[in-house]
Amino acid sequence: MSENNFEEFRRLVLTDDSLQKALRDIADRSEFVTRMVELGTERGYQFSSQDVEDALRSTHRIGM
Amino acid sequence: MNSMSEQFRDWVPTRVSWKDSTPSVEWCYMGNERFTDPFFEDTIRRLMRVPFNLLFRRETSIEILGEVSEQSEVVAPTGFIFHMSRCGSTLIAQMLAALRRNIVISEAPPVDSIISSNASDCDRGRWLAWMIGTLGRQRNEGERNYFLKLDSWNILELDLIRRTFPAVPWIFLYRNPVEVIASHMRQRGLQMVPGGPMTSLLTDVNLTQALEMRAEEYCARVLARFCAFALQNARDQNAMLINYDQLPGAVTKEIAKHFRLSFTDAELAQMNDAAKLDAKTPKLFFEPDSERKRTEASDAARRAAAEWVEPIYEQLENIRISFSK
Repeated sequence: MSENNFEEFRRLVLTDDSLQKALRDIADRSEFVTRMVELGTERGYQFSSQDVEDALRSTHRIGM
Repeated sequence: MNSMSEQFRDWVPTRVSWKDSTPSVEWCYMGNERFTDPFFEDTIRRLMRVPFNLLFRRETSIEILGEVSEQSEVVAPTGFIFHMSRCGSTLIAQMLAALRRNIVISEAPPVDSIISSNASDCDRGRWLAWMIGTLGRQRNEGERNYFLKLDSWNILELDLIRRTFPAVPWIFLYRNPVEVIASHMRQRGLQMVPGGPMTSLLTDVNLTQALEMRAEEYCARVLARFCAFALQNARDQNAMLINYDQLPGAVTKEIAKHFRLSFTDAELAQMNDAAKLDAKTPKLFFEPDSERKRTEASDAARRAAAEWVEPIYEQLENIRISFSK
């Protein structure tokens, strides 16, 4: 459930300029994770810091 | 709904991937960053350190690239930089990138992916125009010149590039072949690995022969193909031959004239400052290495250079010198 919510929020960010602006210049990883969870919660998406960390790690692993 | 150019204004195409011969384009957020690193990939790697770019990449059809390119304010290419590899092309790119008015795209994989694809000439030309157009969007104020340094093997696709951009001047940069081979023997480029992407280029040897060949000879034969192709096209009205030995001075003189550029004193100082640094490792100062490369070259490297590349190198030199008079 949490994973679906996270993926849905991720798709929303890609279509929402204001969300992108709120996230794209954050250089600090932990600050970014916290902000992701906050913005998701504000819009009714339930996911954890761990979901965000896992996603960051998996994209990093495939060398992107 | 915003236009595609608006939606992708701050995003750059980073990769072309293929599924059943159909290309798709991956994009990452770039904002106002400039391509200032020695290679396109270095800049993308730097961008990928930002958490947002790890999580949010876009993937689109190539037609979206076309819409973005056609709807955007793009800077037309000012000049193309072809080269035989390991011959100073990164220095030229870094000197040009020192000026904020220049967009410099250096060996971009998404450009090569289209050029080197098996698609029809018509599709490759159309996609190449879109890719080069999109990478040349004016993303920062004052950008008005645009240079593309291509991969060394892209000289073999000069016809495609000329057909797509018939009016754009280009240079071919080359260097004493013993020095180039010595550089590849220290750390071989992918194009110099038998069985790698250039294997089919050597039509007179099969894969087994290529794999059994001395590394120096394989390298020399590939370099000879690049140089021979440049030689065939050296009298093109948009062509200019440049020898490594003319650098860095040629950037602000011969190359500038060929690309119809002029520089202020302040810009010349900025470019000359960039030339003092090692182009591929800009944290270090540049040190001339021609003598060292010639000294460390093996006898096999000298023999391979003499047999395969030097005759073509001499012809390139003859044309270059006759044109400079």
